[in-house]
Amino acid sequence: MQGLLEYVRMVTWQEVVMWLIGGLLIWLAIKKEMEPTLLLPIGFGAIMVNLPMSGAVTQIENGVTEVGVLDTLFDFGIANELFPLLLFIGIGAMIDFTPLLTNPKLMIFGAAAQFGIFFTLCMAALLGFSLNDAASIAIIGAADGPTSIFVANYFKSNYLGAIIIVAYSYMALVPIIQPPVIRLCTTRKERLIRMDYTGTEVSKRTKIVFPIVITVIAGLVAPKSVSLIGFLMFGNLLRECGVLNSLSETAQKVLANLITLFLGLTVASKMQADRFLTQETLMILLLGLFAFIFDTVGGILIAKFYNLFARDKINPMIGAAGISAFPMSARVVHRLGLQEDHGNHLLMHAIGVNVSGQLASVIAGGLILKLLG
Amino acid sequence: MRWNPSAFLEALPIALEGWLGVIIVIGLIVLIVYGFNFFFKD
Repeated sequence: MQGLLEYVRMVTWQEVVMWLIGGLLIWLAIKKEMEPTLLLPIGFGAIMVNLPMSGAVTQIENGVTEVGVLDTLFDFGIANELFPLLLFIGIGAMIDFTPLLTNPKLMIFGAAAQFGIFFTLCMAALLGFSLNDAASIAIIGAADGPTSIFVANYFKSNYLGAIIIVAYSYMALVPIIQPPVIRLCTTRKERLIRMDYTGTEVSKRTKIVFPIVITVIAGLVAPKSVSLIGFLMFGNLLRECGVLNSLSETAQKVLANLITLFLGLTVASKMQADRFLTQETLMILLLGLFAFIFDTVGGILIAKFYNLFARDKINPMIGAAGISAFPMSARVVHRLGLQEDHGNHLLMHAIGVNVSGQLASVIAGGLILKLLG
Repeated sequence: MRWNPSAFLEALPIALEGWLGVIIVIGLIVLIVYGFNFFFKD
């Protein structure tokens, strides 16, 4: 009996808090359907790694090191950036760049909406984080999980677990975070602006050359981002080339699902109570929110600036979709447009900006690696 | 964790360069895509 209770007595209150956090993530995934593919494995993993002397993570007992499977997976798939990059092939294969190629000027709003990342970098540095940690936290504003993992891991950030949880949680909360910010930054008159959608055809050749050119440009500007953007664009080339449909489907479904599964569990290995329950995690939570809000503000303000000179005004709300959280952000803008005017359909424009935000966030990640790496 | 204004000042030019960098790269891509749309027609 004594032996059976040995580990029960070792449970700390911090571990119990982590079980509750794990339970909360599982609840959000199942009940609220918030990013379930990631929050569910992360939540379950958080419980696994916070059991006393858990065999899922590396333990040293009587001077003998016993390597845990989650740490093995971490070294195999995250420490060398393999999982986020493989996931990018799947994401690239899922993205349809047509709305963006139809109306290329929309890309500028996606670029502008990366403002939150760089503003948060300064704020995190001001709050006392090292520049590398500040950059890892700021990239939460990319609203793109694999980019956050890639950058935070590249800088060997101590806060990887917290950064991933915050990034995915806020991505799921975009429909709650963005509407009040959008309303605050725009007038009703601006929200009522209608935009015509012409739906111009884009040639197949453009769709094929586009991912190749983007890789070359990003590679020339920020060589460290080649793998990041290259894998994304390779996935897109699989989709658009027209001769590798089965590979494209595999990348979109099987590959993306498998990697997501391992990624969630593996990230949880960094959620041990002693590392996670810190004042810094709370600050990362706040800074992540800050990044999402200022991404939204940046996109809207540039759209408003554009309207000062443009003959055909655009609805500045679409600037908010540049945050990249695809496709939630575009849906939020579309819904807000319809709330103001039942005939105002902004979805295709917002999708174009949203996709450009996806691209711009990866480029922003690459530039951060270049500037601080 | 300590308030660190000097780190803020160190981060500021990096952040500005990064943000402008994203806008310039994307701006370049916009021009290229307009070029594609002009020259490539199915």
